[in-house]
Amino acid sequence: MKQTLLTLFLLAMVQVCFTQNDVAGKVVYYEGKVETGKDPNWTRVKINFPVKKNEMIKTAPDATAEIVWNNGTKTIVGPGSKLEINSLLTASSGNSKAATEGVFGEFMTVFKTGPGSKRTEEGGIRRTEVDKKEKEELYWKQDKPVSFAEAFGFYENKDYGKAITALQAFINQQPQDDMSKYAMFALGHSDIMSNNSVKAKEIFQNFVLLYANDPLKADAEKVLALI
Amino acid sequence: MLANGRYSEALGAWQLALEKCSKPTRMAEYIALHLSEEALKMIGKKEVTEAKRYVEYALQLQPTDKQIIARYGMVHKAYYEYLIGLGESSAMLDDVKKHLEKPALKSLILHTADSVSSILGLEESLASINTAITIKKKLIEWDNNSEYHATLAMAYAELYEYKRVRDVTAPEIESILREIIKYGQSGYNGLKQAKFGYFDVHLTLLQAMNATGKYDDVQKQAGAELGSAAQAMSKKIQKSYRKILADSYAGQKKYDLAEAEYKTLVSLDPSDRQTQSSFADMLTEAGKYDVAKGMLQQLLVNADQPADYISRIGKIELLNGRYAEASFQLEKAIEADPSVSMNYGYLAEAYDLAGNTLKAQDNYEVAINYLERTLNNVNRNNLTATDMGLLRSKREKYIMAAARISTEKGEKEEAGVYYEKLTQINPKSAAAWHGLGNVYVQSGRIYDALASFDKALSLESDNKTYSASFTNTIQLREDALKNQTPLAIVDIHVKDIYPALFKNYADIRQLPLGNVTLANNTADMILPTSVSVFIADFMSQPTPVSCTGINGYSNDKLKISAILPEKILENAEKKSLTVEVVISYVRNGATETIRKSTVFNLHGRNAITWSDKRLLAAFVSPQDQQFIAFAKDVDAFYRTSPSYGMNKSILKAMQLYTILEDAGIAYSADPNQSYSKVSMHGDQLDFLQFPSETFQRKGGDCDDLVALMSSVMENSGVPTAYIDVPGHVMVAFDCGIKAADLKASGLDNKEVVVIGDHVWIPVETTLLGSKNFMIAWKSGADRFYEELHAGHFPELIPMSDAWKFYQPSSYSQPGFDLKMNASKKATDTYDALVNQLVAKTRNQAVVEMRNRYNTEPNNTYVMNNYAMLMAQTGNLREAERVFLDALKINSDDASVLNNLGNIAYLEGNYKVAISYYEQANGFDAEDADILINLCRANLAAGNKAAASEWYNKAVTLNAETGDLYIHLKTQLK
Repeated sequence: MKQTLLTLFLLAMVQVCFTQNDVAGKVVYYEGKVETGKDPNWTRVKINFPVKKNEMIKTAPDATAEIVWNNGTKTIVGPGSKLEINSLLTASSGNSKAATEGVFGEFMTVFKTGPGSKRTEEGGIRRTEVDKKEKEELYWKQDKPVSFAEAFGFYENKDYGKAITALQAFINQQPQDDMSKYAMFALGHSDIMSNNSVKAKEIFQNFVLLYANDPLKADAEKVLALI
Repeated sequence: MLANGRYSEALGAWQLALEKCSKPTRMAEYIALHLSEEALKMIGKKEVTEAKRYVEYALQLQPTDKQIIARYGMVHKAYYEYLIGLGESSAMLDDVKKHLEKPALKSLILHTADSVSSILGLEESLASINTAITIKKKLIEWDNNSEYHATLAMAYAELYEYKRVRDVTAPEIESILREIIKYGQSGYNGLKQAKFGYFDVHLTLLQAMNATGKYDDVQKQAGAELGSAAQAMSKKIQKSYRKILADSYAGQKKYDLAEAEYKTLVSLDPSDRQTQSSFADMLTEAGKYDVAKGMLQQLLVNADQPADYISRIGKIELLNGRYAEASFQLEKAIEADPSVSMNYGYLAEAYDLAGNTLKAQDNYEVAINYLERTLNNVNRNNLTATDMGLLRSKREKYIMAAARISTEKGEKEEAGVYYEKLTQINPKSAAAWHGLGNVYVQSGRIYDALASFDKALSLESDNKTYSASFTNTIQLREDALKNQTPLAIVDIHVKDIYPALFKNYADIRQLPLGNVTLANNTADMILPTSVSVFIADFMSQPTPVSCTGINGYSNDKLKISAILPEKILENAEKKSLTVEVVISYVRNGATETIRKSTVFNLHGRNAITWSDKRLLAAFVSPQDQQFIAFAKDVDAFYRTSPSYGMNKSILKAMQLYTILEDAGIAYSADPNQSYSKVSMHGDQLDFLQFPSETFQRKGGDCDDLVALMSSVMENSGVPTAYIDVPGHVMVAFDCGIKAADLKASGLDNKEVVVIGDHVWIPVETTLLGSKNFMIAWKSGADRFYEELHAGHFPELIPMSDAWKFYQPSSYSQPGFDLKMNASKKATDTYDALVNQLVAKTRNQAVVEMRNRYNTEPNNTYVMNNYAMLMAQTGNLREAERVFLDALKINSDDASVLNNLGNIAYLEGNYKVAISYYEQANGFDAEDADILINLCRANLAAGNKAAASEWYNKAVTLNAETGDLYIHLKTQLK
């Protein structure tokens, strides 16, 4: 009996050790529906939820998550992603940031002297007090319209977490807008800056397909070669 | 299904029915005809993409039916217009290309595309005209048809008309004319040979030839057509040929022949006033002043707009040397229409030549301001390059005349400003430099005078007058060196002070109080140790002014500022005050102090000039505590009024306008000092009330009402602007809609002013007290576009931009308390206005959103918005279908789930509603409003306990929810 209990204890310890070794980091922040696991078994994450190397992470179209890896680096997973944890961990080294720096510096110069020079600020009601009126009607839920100026503003201010969510929302809402290509390019860069070159690769691959005749295509290909 | 707008489902049903019955011929005929008929109806409802699908299917069923082919063409015309409206001309060309291999349709579709592009080419937009040209060139590439050559020439003619009035370079204009002639000639030849109508393209061609000076060719071709084809011409065409012929004679200065053509033209249609008017111009050009004047006098009888004829008579009198009569006629013209600014210049010339320099000076100033404004306005849209050259030379002539008159009157400061301006716009004018030197001598600025005379001599070295002036000034300098202190204050110039701008005078960079001209009578630079400015009547202590070194042998100027107290706003009347400037400096180890005083004018608090239109912003404070409290009262008053999800800024403007109207605020013009008169004279004083004064007095002039409306809106959080048109000003507000979303919002381009990404709504505030907000809006937009098309350059000045230049101040009469006491009428009026807005925008928005949904059928954001609109307009079935489709694409979409809950709720299926809301909450647990929907549904289902629980959760999540849904809390008790 004693021997059986000992065996069970040892087995449990092995299991614990194995599981702990498998944990690559934890979700320190999330918005919306974020899950980890594998098809078809997915689990909704909570704050400080551990993420394991052999699993995947999935975010809903309006969700985002921030992972802190065991080595202290951070990765942001933007909306509408389904990515392998192990790949994200490998990409979290941040090597792609330095490698692609030149391409994005050039992108900003081109943007600022081109379409960026024509941007204007948003108008409309400023004070939140004005919205504070009693509501008697049903609440119809609508995603907040995201303008290019707003989304790109986060990117320019290097607030990449917010930029990822806002740029993705703008692309989803206005896929045919002239500025969508710039948003997509900036989104890919934001992912790189958030240590998520896995997602960035996906984005730049899509960019090359979607904007095959655009001058920015060559830049996207340069980035793909570097990450 | 069709009646409910479920077009896709209806088409699917027809297709299914045919398939099930194995497509019997009669049934296919019937369905094809019916679908093509429905497609035409859909065009009326702007459902063009659906219409195209219908007619395409109809043609598939009956490919040779002529009626269906004709309808196919009509639907494609609407479809192409729709694509062009979206800026998708390449998509249109792609569609046209698909028809090139279909012989039965090729010609029809190419002609349809040509017709659509011709209409596009008529729009007054460079992008539209260029798109039309691109399309037509592509059509020629696909089918080298003379008709397309002809319409391409006409599109180039539109481009010419557009560019001609926008100050473009001569080579650019010439290249456009070459294209007109090239395609016009081939189009004309081809059409004439094919015996098709060719007059329009030929007339276009001849006009282009006239513009390039090919007068002989024009006379030959026009003469031949009038000789051989006059019988086939309508009277209008015949007149056009003769007019072109007359123009070509006038171009060659063959005035007798031109006159003969004009006489024939007049005999062809004696009631044609336009021809007679052009005839009078030709006669004036030919120097036949009296005949021209007689003709204009005849036209003046029963004229709708007499000002133009009167001013032309005045100009003829001026050319004829009858100056007194010219001034009389031009005064009459200005009285009839004060907004025609060029008349002030002619009037000034007439007075000047008649010796009345006082009146001449006044009118020169108006004319110069107008010319400056016109020449500096990047949006000028009705001036040719030649016109611009003439205006530049007129400006120079008027400034020189004004400088001369100011000098004669001893107005040194004014004369100096004019001459300085003249030397800036034409640095090669030796006369201007000499005039400036003379003014400097009179002002004691001998070092500046020497520099100016030197410049004049460098331009005209042999001029004896300039040389003498230079020599005399050298002598003056020698005297100064002997008799004056090392540093002297030559002059203090303080402008008239306006209390409303009191904050701005504290900052030299923003608005200097004035300037001090110094004379450094030494070879060394002198650095003052202190400079101070003091106005005894208003200031408790002097304001120190920073200063750099004064160059040796110079008349450097020093800008001065003053920190003025707020009590200056209590000053109601104009008064004279004294300002003293004290300067200390060190010379040879000892401190020297010099001082000088001068008298200046302090105006009453309501005084303003329109030398800079941005000054109005100084009267509108966005942080006025009384108006902030007023805005909160208005919010509270309309708290329970329905908004139907309409644009918040528009609703807010509507509320405020209605409340002001209810408070009895109305437009009341000041006949002696109306904005229309005063605003034309940059230096003339106007009386502008502070917003609280207008409120207290229950009315004001257009500018007073703009300041009031702007103030209530700014303090309610809505950004405003004002639109300046000659003699008038209106308010506008930023409705927060992005330019790209304009159509989806149900608004039309002509109802708003789009600048960059901002959509501004103009409001004619002078209708306060007589017409409601919707009419004031329409009137404001109409006025803006009328002025724009008349070439009056309406300018929209955002208040926030103007505040960057002029800090605002606010003033209330002591004891005045701004109260909002609205009546029930204010609620009724507002509710009616909201209903009007809903009716106006929602239908249009549904159509726009449906078109976008058809273009992007898998965009869940678009699907959700479209379905919401459908639900809000009562089409719950279609809304539910689209929401469910969206859910198939993204099953986690909290917005879609919540809105499906709403559909169920509205249909009384509260259990289903609760289920959807709970799912929505599962995907977005941070949205307290979903919890409120859960509360509402549970309450309706009779689950009060569950309802209370959801309500409490909502309040815990967002404390503000408690205030927003007080009525629910009451029901939960």
